[in-house]
Amino acid sequence: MRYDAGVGAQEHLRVETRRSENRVVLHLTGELDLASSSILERALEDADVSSAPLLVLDLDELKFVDSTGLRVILLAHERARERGQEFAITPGSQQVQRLLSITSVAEHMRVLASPDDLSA
Amino acid sequence: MNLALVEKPFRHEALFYSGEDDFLRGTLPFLLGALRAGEPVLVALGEHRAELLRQALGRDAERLRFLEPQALANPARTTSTWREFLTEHAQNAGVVRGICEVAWPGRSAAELEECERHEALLNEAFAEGPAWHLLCPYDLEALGAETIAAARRCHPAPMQEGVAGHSSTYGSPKRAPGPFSGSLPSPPPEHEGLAFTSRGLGAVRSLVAQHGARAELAEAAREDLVLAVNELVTNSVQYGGGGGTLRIWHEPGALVCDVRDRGFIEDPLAGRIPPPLDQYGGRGLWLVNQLCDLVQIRSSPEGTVARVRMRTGERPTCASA
Repeated sequence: MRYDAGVGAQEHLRVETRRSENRVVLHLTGELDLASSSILERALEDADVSSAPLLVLDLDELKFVDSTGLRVILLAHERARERGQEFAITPGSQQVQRLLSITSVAEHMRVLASPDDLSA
Repeated sequence: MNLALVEKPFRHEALFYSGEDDFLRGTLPFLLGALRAGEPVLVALGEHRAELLRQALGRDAERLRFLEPQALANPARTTSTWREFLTEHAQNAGVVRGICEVAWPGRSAAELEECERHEALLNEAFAEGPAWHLLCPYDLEALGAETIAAARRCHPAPMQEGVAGHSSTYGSPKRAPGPFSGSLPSPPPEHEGLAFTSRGLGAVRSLVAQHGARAELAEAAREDLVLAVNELVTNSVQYGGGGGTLRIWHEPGALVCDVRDRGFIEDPLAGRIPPPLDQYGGRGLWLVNQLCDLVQIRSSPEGTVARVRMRTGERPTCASA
């Protein structure tokens, strides 16, 4: 039996927020799970996020996401919708795409090929 | 057909057959009747039986929908399948029909046990709702007496050799085991164990990935198993007392992961209903059922064990009977 103290959430997920004229992009790197979800939640509360016409979650460097991470993504999508903001994601790794597809979430979200893309 | 048997919206009927002719005698009228009446049908059979039906039906087979056999691997997944089919055809005035053989010959004892629990739960899951008729074939020649007895217990209206009957052994729900009752055999001595808390999720995923690589699981299957075990340990952290214990071992033909915690799952339908899109959380167990080849959960006020297996080596579709 091994006991593992685990790594701190900060080393698990990094979120970089980049604001431009027509959008705000949250670039995720690492793993989005129960331990790191709060990092994304806090980033989403940033004032810059709600004021942009388009919110993009860039998942391309997200190595792993689970149902708790999906919950944060779904909530972000819903909140954007409520304030009349556009919302999109980038496809992410195989693992990310697998989760989004098996839960049928992917078909209900706008997916951009890259975070600065103009087309859906 | 004895119409007096249709007391509830869900008509759950077993077909006990001996041999291929018998199988066709029991299934063809059911299917042709549905086609004549314009009723939607979903056929969920192993490859061999599906092929038998297709050949017997000829061109009519094109008007039926066949579920891909791999979808039947984990019995717990099947409840969702039927719910989705019913929802899809909610507007149809006719009765929805299905044929489903989850307990095919060649399944392991562990799989057959889960099949029995699943079948019993169907009666509860569909007690209210749209009218539909599900026919479940059981091969009398190849299945054991226990499996057949269990089938009689959970099907209210069995059909044998094409004649509708009435099961004298169909019991109240209290007699059939709940889906999470009882216990599982202990893990083998050669296993790797890891106790975890909320800070150990990454370590859990790494360990599962390592064993997946050692078992030579294909990348997609390995990722699925990592995700499934991650969901289980996350549930342990959130609902099972803050943590638990993971045990992993290799069996011929499967990689097994066993997660124990102090939680208690009270909802018999937990993990069997696909959560709607506007439900943000609570998808964990449902996901586990979609991702793994077999999921065995045993839960009581003393705690919960969730054991999942992923097939290694060649991944077969159903055994040909």
